[in-house]
Amino acid sequence: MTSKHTQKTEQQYSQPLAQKALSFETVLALLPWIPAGPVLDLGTGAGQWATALADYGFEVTAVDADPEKIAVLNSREPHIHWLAADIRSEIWSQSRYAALLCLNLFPFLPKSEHLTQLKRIKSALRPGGLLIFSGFSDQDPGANLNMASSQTGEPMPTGTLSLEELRQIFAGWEPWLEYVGPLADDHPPHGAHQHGVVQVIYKKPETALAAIDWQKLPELGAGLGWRHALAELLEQESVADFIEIMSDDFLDPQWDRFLLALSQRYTVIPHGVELSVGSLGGADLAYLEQIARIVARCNSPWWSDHLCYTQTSRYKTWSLNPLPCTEEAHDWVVKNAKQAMQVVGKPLLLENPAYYWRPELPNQFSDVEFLSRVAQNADCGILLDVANLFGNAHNLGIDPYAFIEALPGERVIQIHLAGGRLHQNLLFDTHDQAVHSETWKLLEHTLKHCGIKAISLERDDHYEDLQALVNEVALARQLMGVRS
Amino acid sequence: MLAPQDRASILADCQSGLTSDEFIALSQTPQDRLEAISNAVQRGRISVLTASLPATVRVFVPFDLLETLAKRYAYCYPAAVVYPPAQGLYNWMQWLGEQPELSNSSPIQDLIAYELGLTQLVFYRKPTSAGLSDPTSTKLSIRTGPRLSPRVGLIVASPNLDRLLKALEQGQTAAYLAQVSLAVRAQPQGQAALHQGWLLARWGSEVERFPLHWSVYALLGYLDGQRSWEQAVAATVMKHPELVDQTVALLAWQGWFERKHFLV
Repeated sequence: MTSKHTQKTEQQYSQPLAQKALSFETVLALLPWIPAGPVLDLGTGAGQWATALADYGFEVTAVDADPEKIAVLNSREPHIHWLAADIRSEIWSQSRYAALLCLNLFPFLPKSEHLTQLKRIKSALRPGGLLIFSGFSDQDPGANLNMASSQTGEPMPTGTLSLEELRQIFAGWEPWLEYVGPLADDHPPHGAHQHGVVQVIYKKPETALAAIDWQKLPELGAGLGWRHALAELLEQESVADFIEIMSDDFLDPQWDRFLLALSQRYTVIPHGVELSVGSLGGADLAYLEQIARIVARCNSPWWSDHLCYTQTSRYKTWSLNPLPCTEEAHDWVVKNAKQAMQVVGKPLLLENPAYYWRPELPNQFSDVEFLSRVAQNADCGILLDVANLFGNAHNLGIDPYAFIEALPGERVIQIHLAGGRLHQNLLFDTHDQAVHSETWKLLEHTLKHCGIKAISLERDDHYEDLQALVNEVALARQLMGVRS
Repeated sequence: MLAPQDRASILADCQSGLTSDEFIALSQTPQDRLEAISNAVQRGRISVLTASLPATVRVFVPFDLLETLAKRYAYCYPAAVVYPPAQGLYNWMQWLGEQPELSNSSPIQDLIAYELGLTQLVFYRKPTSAGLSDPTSTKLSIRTGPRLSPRVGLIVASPNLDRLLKALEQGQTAAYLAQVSLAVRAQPQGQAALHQGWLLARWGSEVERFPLHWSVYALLGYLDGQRSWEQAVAATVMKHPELVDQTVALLAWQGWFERKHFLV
């Protein structure tokens, strides 16, 4: 390639859409946003990208037409599914992949075949999946050569592409990066040289959240809340059927790799405390987007938070404060819950909080009426914390059995079990004691009246007797089994 | 809720802005119940503040002192948040480092400087939508010069930072503190603790740290995306004429930063 041609390439793209070409770092940086599922690397070459993705924790299939190259890679990294095949063969499934890399493979395909293969790529990705694509533009030095080959091996003109063509084929997909311009390269026999490339990262549209059939949600069994102190216990597979995480502890994408590994061993249910569904003005959109990322990462069947508010416009309480059971509060909760589900894309369960006082306000619903109306009108589910119910009965004299019987049973999807602590005659929801015998009775009563899919135990402190904790999970599992 | 002792004055203030429901709720609740709830809320806020601090900082601050300082912060800043770390945790840790009880402790100041720096480093990020590749850029205009990648940042800490962090990683903080104490006693009176520029770089969950000569630190301060490296060197030498003999060396640093992919 001549220096004159290099000059021409740079002048052609003096106004690039993205200012720099795709890099190894760019792709690694977006890994937390690849949803749950396997990844496909088409035209893997030296296998650098496939190896990096597999190291992160993804299940990777990497394809290349060179069988010798694949054999070498397979001997080095046997945990990756290496496949010696032509991209044109029937090697991939429909709607399966969470991400698909196709980097500089299309120059070697005749232009006449591009549309067919790009359509296959479109259908191979699942909703919400990411396409990371690079091809040669007509400004590449190889554009005038015969780098492509037909299925019978006949040399053909290099397969170039334009950004306009890609935009047309992937119309409706969310563009995350579009670059047209030079890309520096350095390999034998050419040495240092430049390509002219077109590169995109596109996200396939998600499937909109349809009306929820609560009976069709999966039955998960008896689970445990993940805490650092319980990490070693949860290495044992028989302890819990599923894991509940505190979403707010995992908002930073730094935690994504841990969640990817956890979700490959367990069904993971994210449970948050900062949705503040009762706040005027709604939940923070950036917060909801992180929750959406976590839910997509774990492929969770649902997520949950509390029917409460935690912040006002003036301060953040970091406490789960009860809402007044008024029409106005109901309307705000319904609006906020619907918005949250739209952003996150999965069913939301709202938990009945523990509280320690209840003002007598005019025109107020009862607690169970309020919770039921919110669930019906927001089309969300209920996470019934029977320990909170027991606590509220102790602290405020409500009838917990009547509460359970008044709930819309088909929407009570998950149960929380925990043990609280008595202080100044108030039972506080401390999650650091054994489950009270009365709480177990409330669980049994709930199982008779509601279509429970999961029971999870919450323990935040006092881990002196882990076997007792394991026994509580086992008992919950047994009671659920007796019910069914 | 935060100050139950003010209930009477709030109820008496006709401009308090309470709704009728809020007025009823506040006036109905017994004082002792209000205080019990307020204490529980404050305990929760203090618990969140203390738990949000990195383990490195918590190792050196006695828990009782930490709770006292968290309570002080919670009362001063009722709207304080700890997420996202780049704003919430940053503000809390910065305030913590300024408290008289901690301002004279070199290890704590080093660790707070280090952890503050980490809150600003971004490795995992979505590419921006078409038009920009740098998520921290606020301009649509094309940049003409390099700047540090969002995953790279600069801090000032003592030259002991690396030794301190290694001692923490190896669980040898007591030995480290004893050594530092000896070193301080050995210094001639009046000699202030030295400071050092450090470059921190994230790659995934790993963090690299590099001590920088003050001249390189100053040079990096001129990389704003509009100056070339050469222009940044020229600006540094103009500000610090004693560096004129270092011009070639400063120009050569660009190659190292590019090989490490620290520039965008």
